[in-house]
Amino acid sequence: MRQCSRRIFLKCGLGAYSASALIPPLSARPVMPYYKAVFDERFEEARAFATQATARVTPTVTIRGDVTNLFFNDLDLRWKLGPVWLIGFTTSASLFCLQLLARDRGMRLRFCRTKPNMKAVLCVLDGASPRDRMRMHLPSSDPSDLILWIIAPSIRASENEIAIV
Amino acid sequence: LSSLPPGVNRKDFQDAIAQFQAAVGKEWVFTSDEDIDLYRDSYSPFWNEPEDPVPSAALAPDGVEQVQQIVRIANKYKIPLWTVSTGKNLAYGGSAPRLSGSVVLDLKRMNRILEVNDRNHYALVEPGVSYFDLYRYT
Repeated sequence: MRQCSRRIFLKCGLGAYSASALIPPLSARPVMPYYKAVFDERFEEARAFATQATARVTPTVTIRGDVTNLFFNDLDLRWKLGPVWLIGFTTSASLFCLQLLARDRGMRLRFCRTKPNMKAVLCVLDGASPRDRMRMHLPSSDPSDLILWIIAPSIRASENEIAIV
Repeated sequence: LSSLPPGVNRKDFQDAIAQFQAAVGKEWVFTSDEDIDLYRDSYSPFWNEPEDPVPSAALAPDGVEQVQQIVRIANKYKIPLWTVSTGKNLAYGGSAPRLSGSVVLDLKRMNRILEVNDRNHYALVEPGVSYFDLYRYT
């Protein structure tokens, strides 16, 4: 077997260094192509979720229960271009509204979990792709229940027109 | 999940669906459980019970001509239609049909604002235009 010369060794070393400089560390890379992470800033757990989302380079957007501004000034305009992935940590009432608005633009609720612990939140943020196919999510008995959720392009839309985030 | 229109056999229904697809495009004819689920009453007290009205399919035309074709096909096979604009009147059943097995005629794609007349204070819009759409336009 041919021995590695000093020149090749240096070349490889420089190459590896350049590559590592271009690729950000794992914790700073977005693991899922979420357009936005929506969180309700009134709740400490949701704020913690937003911090973790930011650490994963997912843009965050804040609400305080009402999703009107988020829809009118952001999502409605973005969804006109095509369906996108959204993740959120909000009350069930906010989720219900967003889900209804999203469904007409080729998106569906793909996952939701009521009152998840931080470990579950991190798993989902880190790309553990939940396979639960959710049926229409009804508002829970307590509309202030916090829910971790993912809204994503429907399979039908995925086949045709997923927009580039 | 979905049920057949009352008095319509499976073969006729499948023929009708094929004709609906030819009229509005395959991607705008909804028959899967996932899609049908969206045309149910979210607040139905009869959820998953026999009284819960469930459509057999939903169609989303994008213009008057397609609506005309749909009505002709529905009339030919005696399939009841249930029309919704955006189906967001949740307290009144959303987009769920009154009669189980109806085909929902979803007009959300007909969302063009045809005229806003400042002088005479009226707006002429297609049925899928929402308050937000009109607000943004004006």
